[in-house]
Amino acid sequence: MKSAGTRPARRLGGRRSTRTSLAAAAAIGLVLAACGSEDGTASSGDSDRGSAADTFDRFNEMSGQERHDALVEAAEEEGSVVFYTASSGMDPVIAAFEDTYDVTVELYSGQSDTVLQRILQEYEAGFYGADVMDDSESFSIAQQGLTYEYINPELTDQIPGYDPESHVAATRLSVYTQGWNTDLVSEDEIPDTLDGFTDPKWDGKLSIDPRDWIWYTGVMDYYLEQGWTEDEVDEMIQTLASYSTYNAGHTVQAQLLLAGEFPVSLSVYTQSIDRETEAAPDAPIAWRKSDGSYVEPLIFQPQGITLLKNAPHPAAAMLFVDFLLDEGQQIISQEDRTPTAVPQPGGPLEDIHEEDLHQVDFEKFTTERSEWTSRFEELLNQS
Amino acid sequence: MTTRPTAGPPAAVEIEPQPPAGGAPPPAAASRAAGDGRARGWIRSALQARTLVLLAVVIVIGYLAMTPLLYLAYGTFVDEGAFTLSGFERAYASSGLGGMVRNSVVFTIGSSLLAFVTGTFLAYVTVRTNVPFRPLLVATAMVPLIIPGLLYTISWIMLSSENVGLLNQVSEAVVGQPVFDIFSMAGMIWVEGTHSAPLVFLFMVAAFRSMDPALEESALVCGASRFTMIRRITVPLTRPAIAGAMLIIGVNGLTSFEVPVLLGLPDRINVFTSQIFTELRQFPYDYGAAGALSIGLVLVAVAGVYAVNRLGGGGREYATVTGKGFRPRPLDLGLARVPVGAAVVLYFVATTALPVLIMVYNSFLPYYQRFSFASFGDFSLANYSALFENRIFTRSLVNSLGLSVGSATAVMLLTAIAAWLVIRTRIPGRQVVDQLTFLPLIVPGLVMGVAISFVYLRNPLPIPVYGTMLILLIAYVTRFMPYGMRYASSSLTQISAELEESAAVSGASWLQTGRRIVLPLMVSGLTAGWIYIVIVSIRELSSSILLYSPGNEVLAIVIFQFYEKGEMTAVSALGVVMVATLVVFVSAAYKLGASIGLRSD
Repeated sequence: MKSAGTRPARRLGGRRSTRTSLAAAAAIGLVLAACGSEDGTASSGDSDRGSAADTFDRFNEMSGQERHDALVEAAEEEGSVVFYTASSGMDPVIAAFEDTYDVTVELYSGQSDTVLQRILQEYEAGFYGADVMDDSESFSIAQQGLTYEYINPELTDQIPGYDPESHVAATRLSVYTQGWNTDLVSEDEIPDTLDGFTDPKWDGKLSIDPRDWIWYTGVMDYYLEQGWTEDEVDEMIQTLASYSTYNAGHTVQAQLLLAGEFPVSLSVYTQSIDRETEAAPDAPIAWRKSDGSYVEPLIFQPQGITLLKNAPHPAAAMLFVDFLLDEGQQIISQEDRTPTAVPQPGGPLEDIHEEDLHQVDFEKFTTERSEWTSRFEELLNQS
Repeated sequence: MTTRPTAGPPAAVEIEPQPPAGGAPPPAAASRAAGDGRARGWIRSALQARTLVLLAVVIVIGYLAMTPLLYLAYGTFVDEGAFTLSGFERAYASSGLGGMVRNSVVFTIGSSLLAFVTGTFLAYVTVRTNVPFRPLLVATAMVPLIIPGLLYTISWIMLSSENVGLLNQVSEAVVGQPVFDIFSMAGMIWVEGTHSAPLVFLFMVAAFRSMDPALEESALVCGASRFTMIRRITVPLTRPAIAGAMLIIGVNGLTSFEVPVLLGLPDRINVFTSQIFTELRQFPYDYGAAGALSIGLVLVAVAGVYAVNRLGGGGREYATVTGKGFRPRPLDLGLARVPVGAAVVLYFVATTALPVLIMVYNSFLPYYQRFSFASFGDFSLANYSALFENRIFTRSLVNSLGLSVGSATAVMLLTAIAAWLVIRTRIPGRQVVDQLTFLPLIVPGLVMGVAISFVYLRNPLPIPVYGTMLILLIAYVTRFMPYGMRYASSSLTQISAELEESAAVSGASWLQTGRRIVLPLMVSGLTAGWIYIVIVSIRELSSSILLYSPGNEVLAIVIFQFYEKGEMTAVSALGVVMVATLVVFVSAAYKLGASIGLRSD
């Protein structure tokens, strides 16, 4: 795949390799801020607690029914909440929220990178429209100092691995798995682990998304734990890639798998498959065998919700976070078949143990991003 | 026949102000008074409607084209407050450059040629001949344009991929092996070419309509063969339209996105756009590199505009609408009627009926799948009801229609006047206006979105823009101005200036001439441009996604949301609704255009 390879290897470039992605973000931020200040609309500095801090503090200090009642009252007075997300499955959550409270949800949804781009641009220009954001990039904007702490242990204690310092409460998990077309391949042939697909009989039967470097980092960490060396993992990935066609985009990947264009997809989201089988139980697509087993490892990346520090509707924003971490989790899991951070009975990951889910390394996703993207691209190019 | 104007008076109307009716100071005034009078005369002429209108148009165009470009230049050359060329280094110092450039060239030229040949052929037989199935032709020429590129490409995968393609199911049954392979350069060229053929069709229909067939007839009468007639008469006369169409489909091919990503990637065929796309997928966007690539394209495009202006010709040698009246009479195809008709039907089936039917078929199904008769049992209207249950669908439909009509009208008005300025006047620097209108074509939609949001978050205008529908209107007008300009100038080039001169001689003011003579004559070209912009505005996603705000959603956002959820069948249903809506809309516009125009069909 040349598209990836057309980028110069960062390692050779030197300059780029030392500049981490977050530093680059900050640099762009500086550039934007420099522009902004020219016409007197300089953004607030990182030390700025934000215009909504007092409201957030007030409710962060409260708990139980008292907190809830006060929050509902304040939120309904604000009347609306502006919600930025890259998730397309939030409609039922929003409908349920609007049914429960007298608060309108104004939704902005776009691809993850456009949501990130928009919020960075708005904050640098001093335009504070957003109240709350739910995305994988929530962690990035939290690192940029655009967010505010959310304290509500009653709900956050249920989230495995929750870190209050991060300002982000995980809501959804994007779980990478291997899916297959049940018309084209029998589940008995499906191996127990990813490396089983290196058997030559799979040559020409696999598909891979050439942009799933984040999945690659998870696979790497999993096999290192199993005692493999980095070279061995790379060799496996390279073999898998050489057996694969490249198909960009998770939706395209799932649709083509469903149509039977290839028998196995190596990097597809569980919810992409579960949504199809939910809508049409006879859809010839699966990621779990009839006994419930699946190809290991399951790699996941959390998506999280965070409060914007200059939220114009802070109380409504907090109420929305509360809702998403509580009833919202159930709705997402049931209606959108997306795995939730708080495991749900009857959810898509039912009877999968927490220790069998492998989270991608946060460092690799943020500060080491450029290194891992180019490593993955190189592997695909060589195959 | 003498439609070709005689050489003589220059085509361009002098911009020097003509004495306003009864307004010139009497020549007998004293010298000091004459000085005053000159000054006053100058002020008066400066305040003339024509000058004011032209000035306003130039300002608006300059503003729209330059604001995003200045931002692009800033993002490319300034890094951490200092001048840098590192973006160029990152963008162009790559090992796979040779293969990528070669692929881009083959893909661009291949798809442009295919689009050009089929679009022109269809336009010619539609306008000029008594070919059967003409309504079918118009559908063929419009529908692929309406189907969102992503859906059109995926429809083609469903039709002719090696493993699931319907056409290969047929070919396996007939010849025992799959014949079609969509994941190839040929497949990419086919899909891109047939998807942009309608653009050429629209251009050429307008050009053929404004051309007096008497010219062709006289060639035949004088003993020229059909081929000679086409080579010596038809092609030269439609050169402005050919040039405009080639330029735009060339750039379109170069910047095409869905086709290379969906069809090229699986077979490791990489082109230029994938590179820009890769840069834009970085966190954060590598503006420097994306900007450097875009600036490279801008330079190529400026050279292109220059070349096309030479090719297209600025003067009256191509003027085909003159003071002499004509009524196009369809050319009798005679015996050729049957094969040409068959070709038309075949083309209709291949590029319109099949993709639309695959889309309709899937819109009734619970999941996107290869064709089988067994699946007919699963048919339901669930995808259509999902559309209307979507919380923003109805609102976005209304918003999209409003916005696309608004932006198409604004673009065609602006560019009609700009085209007049460029072609009819001798104002120094008028070519700059031409190039300004063209530049936005080269800026990728996403980069345009980023630039426009950057500008309006620091609003230079006295009215609120960010967070309103206006920002989308600005984005659409900016992005589609290049198309409007090509349509307007190719149709104006075909109209002889002598008509305006006669009007002026008969005492009509500039505004009257414009309203009564020039605009009605341009209507066929302007309508074609208007329709095209309506369609592409409704399809527009890459800028809209960054610029819309809650309450101002457009249809493309709904498509995006369904698509992201993997509801390809719902996207199909939406595609069917869009095609149906736009077919009605476009037919109405054609009717309207024809009734306003000089003549109706």
